[in-house]
Formats: sequence, C-alpha cells, structure tokens
Amino acid sequence: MFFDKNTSNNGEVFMEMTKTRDNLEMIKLGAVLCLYAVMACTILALVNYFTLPIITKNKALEASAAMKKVFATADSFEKIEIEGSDAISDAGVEVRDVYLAKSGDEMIGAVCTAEGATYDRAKLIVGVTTEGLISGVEFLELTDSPGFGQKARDPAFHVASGKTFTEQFIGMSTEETFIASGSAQPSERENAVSQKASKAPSRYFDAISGATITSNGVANILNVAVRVLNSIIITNRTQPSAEELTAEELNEEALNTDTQAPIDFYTDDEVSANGDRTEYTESAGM
Amino acid sequence: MNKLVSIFTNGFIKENPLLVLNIGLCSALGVTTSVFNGAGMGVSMMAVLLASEIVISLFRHLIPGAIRLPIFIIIIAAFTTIVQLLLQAFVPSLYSALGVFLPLIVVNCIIMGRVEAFASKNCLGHSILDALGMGLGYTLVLIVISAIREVFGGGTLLSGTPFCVNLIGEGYRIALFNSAPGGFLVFGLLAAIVQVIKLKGADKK
Repeated sequence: MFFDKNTSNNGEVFMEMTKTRDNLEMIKLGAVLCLYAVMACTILALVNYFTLPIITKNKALEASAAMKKVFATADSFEKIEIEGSDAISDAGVEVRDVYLAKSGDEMIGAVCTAEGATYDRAKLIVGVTTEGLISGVEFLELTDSPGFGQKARDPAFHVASGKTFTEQFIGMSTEETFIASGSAQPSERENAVSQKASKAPSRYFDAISGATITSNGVANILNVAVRVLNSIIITNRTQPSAEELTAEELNEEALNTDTQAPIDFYTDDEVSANGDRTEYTESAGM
Repeated sequence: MNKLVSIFTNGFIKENPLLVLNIGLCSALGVTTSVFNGAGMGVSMMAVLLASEIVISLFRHLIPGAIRLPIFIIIIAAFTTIVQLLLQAFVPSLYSALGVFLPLIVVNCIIMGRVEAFASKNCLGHSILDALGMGLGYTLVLIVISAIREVFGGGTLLSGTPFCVNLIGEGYRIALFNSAPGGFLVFGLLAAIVQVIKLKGADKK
C-alpha cells in the first residue's frame, strides 16, 4: 500500500518517511524544551511568591529610614499626591515620593526623592525645613564609578570642610541655587537649571576632586528638588487663626516669600493660604 | 578516594577556572573592588553552579543532545533568578553592590563550561565535588584580587561589612587599582604566580 502512493521507487518513499520522522522528532524536541521551561518557571513563580512581600517591605523600610535620616526631627511623614502623574520632571531630574515631614500635627518641612544624571545616575532623598534650610541629603542610589563619583556616598570620604559630601548640605539655605565649587564652567551650570532660578545668587558647596561631573549632577538634582519642596511647603503651610497673626508677622511672611526663588512660579493672585496643588503641577511643566 | 579528592582539588590550581582556563573573567574583574563584593559574587556564583550541576547531572539522561544548550541555559537562568530574588530579599546590600553582574551569572562561561564538560556526563556525587571545587577556586581567586585592589585602591578592608578597617590614608591610595587596568594587572600577576606553582609541581614529578 505504501508503495502505491505518488512515488516511483523505494528510495523516494524512504525519504518521505524520514522527513515525517524528522518533523516528529522536531516536535518532540520542542515539547521537551517547553516542558523544561514550564518547570523552571513554576519554581521561579513559587520563589517569587515567597520573596516578593519581603522585598517590597525592605524597599519601604529603606525609604522611610532614609526619610528619617534627612529629617531626624520629624516623627511622621504624610504623602502628597501629585496630580497628573507620579513624578515632576524638570531639567532632566525626576522628583517623586513627596512627603510632608510632621512633628505631631505640625508640618515642619518636606522630603522628596529626586533622580537625575550624574556621571551615571543618582537618586537622592532631600529634606527642606519650613524655614527654607536643607535638613539633610542622602543617596538612595548611586551608580557612579567606585573611587570617583561613588565617593559622594562614602562615609569615610571628607570634603575640604571636614564633613562628608552629603553632610555639608545640612543647614544650607535654599534661597540660592547650588553650584559645585571647583566646577569648570559655573555659567553652564546656571543654564541647566531654570532661567528664573539662575537670577538668584549661587551657593557654593565643595565638589569631589576627580568627580566634577558627579558633583555638578548632584547640584542640578538638588536645585530641582529644592524648588519643588519649597513650593510644596508654601502650598501646604498651615495658617494660624486670624487672632494670632499680627500685622508684623504678615509682613515678615511676605518678605520671606519674596526672596525664595520658587515664588517666581506664582503671580500675586495665586499665592494664597489655601493654594491649590494642581496649580503647581501646571507650572511645573515650565 | 583519590579520584574524589582529585576532582575536588582540580578547581584550585590545576584547572582553576579564572587563572588557568581563563573563563568567567568579566565578573571577576568587574566586582572585585572590595572583598565583600568579591566574596559575595563568588558565593552567589558557587550557589548557581552547584544547583545547576546537581539538576543537570540528575537529568543528564533525560536531556536530548540536540537541544542540550537551550535546556542548560533555562536551568542556569532559573537558578540565577532564584539567587537574585533571595539576595534582594535577605541581603539587599550585596544585591545593590553586585548590580548588573548578578544576572550576568547566567552567561558566566564557568557554569556553562562545567555543566557541558562535566555534569552532563558524570554522576551526581562527582558533579557535586566538581561544582564545589570550581566554585571555591573561583571564590578564593576573587577574594585575593579584591583584597589587593581594596587595600591599595580604596585603603580599606572589608568595607560594606561591620568589620571595615581603614588601612591606608587617603593621600597614599593608588587610584589605578580601583579601575579596570588595576584589575587586569592584579589578575595577570596572579595568573603568572599560578603558572610558576604548576611548573614547579611538574618539575617535582
């Protein structure tokens, strides 16, 4: 019966049968491969199921421990939802995870994470008090070269003032933009941050020798983060009741808010005690 | 018994994967800037090597020859991911220190090489010994390279652990050792030393 099919001799039939056997063989091999893949993925899914809660918990703990490090006087943090997206972008820096730092019920500042380019990339957590001073700066991630940019994160490395790289920012005023001293082209730095802020005087901090790009990158990230935080602090400032606020205090507040660079974002009409957060996100697109 | 011992010690000097066979080099040079990283990488790689050799040795008669390489990669990749997840959950400091080199264990030539040359053709007991020997040989070399690079380049020893000590002051550190050329230098010197040991050993015989 086999030999009656469209074949003229045994040789061709043999080739036909071999081809079918090859196809079957291939399908069998494919099935075996598939089986191994399924087994491997099942085991992986199991391990993932058990480790995922631990990993997410670690990440959350790391973030809140880092927030406490930059704002030791706060005892709780309240998340601020940014309307529209989950990050504010400006000058190549992404700001997310904005939290109000609170002591009891009173807001004493704000913290956020800011990520941007340094020699590779860096993710900082930055805290600013309601007086407009930096409460602390910490690295969450830094992928720069060990021995060079990585020194920014090294607790054993000290800059000229004797403090560690991140310690030197504590207490610095945020009125002025930050510039790494020893950086080759300070004018270039000023162009990288927004036009309005560059009109403000600049605050020099110690750069890391041999890691100029890292130091300038950190300056850029800090400037953007600080502008965001100052705006958040203004829009969330709790107002004391009318009797407590004297004319003196009102004047003082007006004077203080004038010198802070972020206020440039708002017209006089928009600055109000109950400032709407959505107004900030619209102007953040600048 | 002699055979078992010789399989185990093969990976230390005679067929040290890094210094003699010269495979698996990129991970060795990339993470050896500190002893903590080097030791951590060595242990992670040894774990993946051991698990892969065990599984492949157990399944060696059930792996069709034509597709053995894809199957090896599936198994090695699965174990690498498991090690990655475990490190991320339980030792996050090592996880972030190793960075991209952890998933690169999948294509570490040592694992592919040993699995193809040994585990797929030998029984379970021998494969375990081979994995331990090769893994330990790799880890020891990594620790030696890391120690030299960390002390001369970073000035510290055991940074990243609670036992960190500062050995050389900031002005006297040699930055060369922190970067790739320094890594190659130390590696080349170690390879030369191992060659001397091997030649002396051959002379005695």
